[in-house]
Amino acid sequence: MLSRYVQSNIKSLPLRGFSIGRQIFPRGNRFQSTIPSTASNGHVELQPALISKATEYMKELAELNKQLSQGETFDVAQQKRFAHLASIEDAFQTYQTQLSNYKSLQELAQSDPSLKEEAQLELTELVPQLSQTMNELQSRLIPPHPFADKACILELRPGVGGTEAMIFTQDLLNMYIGYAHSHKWKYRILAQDENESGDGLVDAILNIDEPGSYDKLRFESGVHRVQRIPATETKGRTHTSTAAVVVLPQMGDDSDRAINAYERTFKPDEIRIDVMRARGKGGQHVNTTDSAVRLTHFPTGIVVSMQDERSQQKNKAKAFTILRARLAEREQKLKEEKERDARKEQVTTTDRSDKIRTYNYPQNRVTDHRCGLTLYALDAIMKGERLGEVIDAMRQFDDRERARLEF
Amino acid sequence: MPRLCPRIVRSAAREHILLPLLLPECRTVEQARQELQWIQNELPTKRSVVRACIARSRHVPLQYILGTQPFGLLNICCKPKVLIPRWETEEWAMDLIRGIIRAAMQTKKPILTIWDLCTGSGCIALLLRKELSQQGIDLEVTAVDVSPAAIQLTRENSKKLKIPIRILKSDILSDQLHLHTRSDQQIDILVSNPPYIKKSDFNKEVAISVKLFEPRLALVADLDFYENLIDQWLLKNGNVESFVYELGSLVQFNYVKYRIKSHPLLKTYWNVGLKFDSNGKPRCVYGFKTSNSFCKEIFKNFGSLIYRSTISK
Repeated sequence: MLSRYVQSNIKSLPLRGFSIGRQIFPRGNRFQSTIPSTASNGHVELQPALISKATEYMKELAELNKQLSQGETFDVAQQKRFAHLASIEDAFQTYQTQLSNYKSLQELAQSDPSLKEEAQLELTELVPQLSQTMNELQSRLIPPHPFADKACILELRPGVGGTEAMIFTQDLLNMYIGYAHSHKWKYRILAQDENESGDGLVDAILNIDEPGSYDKLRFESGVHRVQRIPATETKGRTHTSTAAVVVLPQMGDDSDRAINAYERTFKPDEIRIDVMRARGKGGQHVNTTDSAVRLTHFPTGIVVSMQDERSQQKNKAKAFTILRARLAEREQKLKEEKERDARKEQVTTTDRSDKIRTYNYPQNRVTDHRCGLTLYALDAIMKGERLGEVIDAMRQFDDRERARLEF
Repeated sequence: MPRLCPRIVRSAAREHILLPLLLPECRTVEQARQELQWIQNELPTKRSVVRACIARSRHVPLQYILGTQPFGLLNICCKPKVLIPRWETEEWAMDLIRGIIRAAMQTKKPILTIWDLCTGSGCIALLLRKELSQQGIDLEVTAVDVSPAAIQLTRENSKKLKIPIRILKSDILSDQLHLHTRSDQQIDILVSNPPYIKKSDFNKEVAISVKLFEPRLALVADLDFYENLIDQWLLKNGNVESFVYELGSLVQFNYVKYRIKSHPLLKTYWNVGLKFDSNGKPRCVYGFKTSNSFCKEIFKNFGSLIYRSTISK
């Protein structure tokens, strides 16, 4: 795929950043403006609110432990809770030991100059471990996304940049397919509209059937920007184009059924039941064969009439069945509209300014503008092999953000 | 009854030759079409369909022609000399069943005793027995009527639908049946669809088909049965816990309410309510003892409570 593009000179790769581990943070260059200044390992301590929440959990776990040791039997919900808390406890304990180690090492380095070098050495080893434990703990403490266990649907659309954007859309689709491959996830291409010349996509929908894939891929929503010399370019200039990705959870049948399964019961003031007769005193005075029933559902204005059966009760039952079906249909439509709105919210424009990530071919660079991660491994990412690293960084960034906002 | 417009009759005839025969009873082409459909569905031969339509043009009730009338989930057999079940009756009977089921879910009752007076085809008694025993409620249903034809038809329906009920032939106005019940025998619910058309109303208020073909015995009476309810069942028998009586006008309701309200004993523990049908006409008077929480629950959403006993105040 890359062969389509003229690779620019590798020497132009800027060496302006500092790097820790595999993460490179640019400093004082033109990329700075597009990257938030959050450094992922600037802090090694959790938010105090998260710590107090963790201690709360530990108390609850101790309580459950006590119950268990007294021989009480747990129901399924309690068992799940116990397992969840126990996993937090594990991470929390590791975090606490590592943190106290870290603190004492720092103290040692400050108080005893002779041991400073050694302490520093140990610290450089400890810090990545500690930040990893912290991230793990953080993601366990933060409540999961409501659709975290859902499969997902990816929608891809070219944005600014004409044919080049369409070609890039194809590249992104290949990237996600590669990513699904590397995880051994099942996927289906639901729709794939090629452009007229056949070298790019006007529109593509990728269905990934793996439960939980929504949680992984939901950060992919947004505008992806590409900077390269397109195959369509004759004068060798670098172009910037975009493609939009929308990630939606697959609301599978089972969950839908769970929502819609409940027997719709109507409040008395929601429904009016008319029998189609008015004259006279009724009762024994007349003997009508008219068994028609009309239901009016006030909140929606739906009216259902039924008269086929001689039995009024049967007509009523039939009318209710039809009313229920109509309401369900209407609900579905509303839900779809809402989803459409949600989609609009995710990508308001396919403008270059809303970009979440840049794929810079000349520099062999991929930068995620939200979490500030830059990787110089464009090829591997575009094949989907190392896309996971970007996603993981984004997940940690999101956990931190949510921890900051929610606690 | 306004005259049928000849143009409508002609257009109906163009649609189907038999439709004009049904118009006098059905009044609208739409309803006539529907009725013709039912007749064609239920009768086997073309000849019997034609005969049925001719009978219909002479105001014979459709139920006597087809032999049945749906009542709840039951198909009740209908024969001349016995009143045809009305949809209004069906409606309140279904509401009553819902109330009993709700009450039974809250408090378990060992055995429910229901008496149905003036049962006619047996429709109310059979529907109650069928629907409630399906819900696992133990009950004993007794159906009473004075007419031999009605007793005969109730037996037939009970046998055909395989719903066992006790059937008594008795004239409740003169037999003092209430005194023959065992003194310790409590009647949880006393239901009735007694004749309630005033004699003076019979000629002008009653539809021609009813006037010509349904038994007067089941239709015409003034306040006799409501008087009987108060004097014999509530006062002399005293073991009745609640009652539902169908009615035709507010006069009958006011009578029952007044009798209970003005009686020194009855007023202390009886509550009286009124139920309208979905056509907006007053349809039932009902009452229950304040002390009986089970019955209180049955009638919670049944109608509107008009008179509250002095104890509950």
